[in-house]
Amino acid sequence: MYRKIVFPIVLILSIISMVVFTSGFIDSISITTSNTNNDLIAKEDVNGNKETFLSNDENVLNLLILGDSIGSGAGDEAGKDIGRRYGELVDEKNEVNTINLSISGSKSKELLERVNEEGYDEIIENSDLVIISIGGNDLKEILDSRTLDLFVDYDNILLKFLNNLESIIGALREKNNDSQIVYVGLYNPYGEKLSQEKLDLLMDWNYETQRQIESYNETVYIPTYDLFKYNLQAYLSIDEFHPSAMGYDAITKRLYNVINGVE
Amino acid sequence: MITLVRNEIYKMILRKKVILIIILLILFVGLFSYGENYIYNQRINAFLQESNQSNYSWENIANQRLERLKENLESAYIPERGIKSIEIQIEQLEYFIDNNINPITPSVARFNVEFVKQSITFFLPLLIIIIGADLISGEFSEKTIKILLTRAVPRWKILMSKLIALLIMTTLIVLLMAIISTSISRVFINRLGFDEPVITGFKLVNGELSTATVIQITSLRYMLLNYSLAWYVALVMSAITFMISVLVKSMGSAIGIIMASLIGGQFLQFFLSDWGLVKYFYVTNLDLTKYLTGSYQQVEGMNLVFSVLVLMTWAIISILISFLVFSKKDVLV
Repeated sequence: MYRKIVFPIVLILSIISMVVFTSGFIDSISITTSNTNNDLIAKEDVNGNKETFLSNDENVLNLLILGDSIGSGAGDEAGKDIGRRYGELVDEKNEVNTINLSISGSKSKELLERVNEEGYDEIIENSDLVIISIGGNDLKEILDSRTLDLFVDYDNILLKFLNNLESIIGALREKNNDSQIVYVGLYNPYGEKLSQEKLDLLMDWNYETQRQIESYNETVYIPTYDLFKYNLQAYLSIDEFHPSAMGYDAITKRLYNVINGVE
Repeated sequence: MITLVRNEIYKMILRKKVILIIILLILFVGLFSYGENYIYNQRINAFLQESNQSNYSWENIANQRLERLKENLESAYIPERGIKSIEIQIEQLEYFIDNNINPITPSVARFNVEFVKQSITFFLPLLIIIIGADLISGEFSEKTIKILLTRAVPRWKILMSKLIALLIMTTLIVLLMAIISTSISRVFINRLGFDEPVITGFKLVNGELSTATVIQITSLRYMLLNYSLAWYVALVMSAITFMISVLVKSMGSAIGIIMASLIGGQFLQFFLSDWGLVKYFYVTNLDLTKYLTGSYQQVEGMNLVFSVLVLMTWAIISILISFLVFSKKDVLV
């Protein structure tokens, strides 16, 4: 009797669950593969603002953002970048015109190549304020790697990065000697998960970068490490790596205060 | 054929493995859900002590956030892709506030999702190994293979019936997991939360997490998505376990081999970012649920479809090898 009932029940239950699970499975594949239409956001920005940017109206602040994902505003739930947020802070006095040439995942080498491209000459020449966010991906390679010669690798990459940074600033200055350059420092997105050893590398990286940045004229280093230290939960976006809207807000406010003074 | 399958299922049930699995599930779900509730209560207490407030008001925080989001939406600077993500967030928050749902309190639905996520890489495969590792090797060690093979049935039919029975039992285990973790966690967690909204559909575009395709679904559906992916992983694991069980004669070594590959595979993931070959190993692809949450991934080119295909290839090859080996094998007992 017992045997007769068990098998049909097992069979029916499993067939029903198989059907349900299969539909759920197909559902999850279709959800994760739906199409996106936001390729190359940076390029649209160039086309949209370039004319006004080049007209070089004295009442308009021409803001150029160069760099990686943090420059492009990745993780910002409001979809703004540092430029738009900066624009909101100053637009009562005068207008801000932003061009964002950031490309996610850029390392210093790629930014250097981009800065040297002829197509961007005019933009660089006409910019009043240049915000640079670069180096995060250079350093991330080390922080994520599990190689044994952490320090050897670190020294090599830091040296290359500093050389690239020098060439980037040099290239910018060659084309435009008056603009204010702002470099956005690195924060620690991993919190306490980052080992002390690697945290030391991050601090050293920021220190060396700041030392170099401060040796140029009209160039300033904006630290972000301290901003994020106790606010990781609020300042990091859902991917736990890039800043959230609040994080960008904090960075932009500090940047604004550094350049314009505290009101 | 159906008689053979029925016999195999009775064998599995009579071996009391299913009871072991149920006990394990009850034990783990009980511990986890109790722990989750305990930690939540501790956090609230700590918050109250620090802030010197008499009660914890999440409504204020949620309302504040809602207003900020609405302000953002009116700003002219927002591109198309941002609007969609904000609208979803606003919708979600409004829903929470309107229905008096605290987005921080644990719920049964959220516990289910969390439990699947935690168990998909190790605990679930372990359950499958418990039920599948002695499927064929057990017949050898108990010397019952003689009786089985002397029947007037071709070998492949015997093997096929065992495979079908294993797949049926695997499906039941995932179903059991859903039933047990829903009912047991209900004891410790007071909220069901099946109709709460969840956002999913994150995508990696050019190494960036894209929110352009994010959609909002109910917790129940989200739970189903997670269990479906777990089911797929369980099927693949049963195919691999099946092959090992055919290849090895003792049940102990069958379990040992699979466990070693699971643990070794977790170690191999450390090299994932530098060593491209690792992403074709099955253990690396077991964690399918991470593609739903969009948690940050290091490897470009790894997405749900990729992992599903890699796992499928492993499963198909495992089954092919099982049949080839079993039909040619000399049985000396």
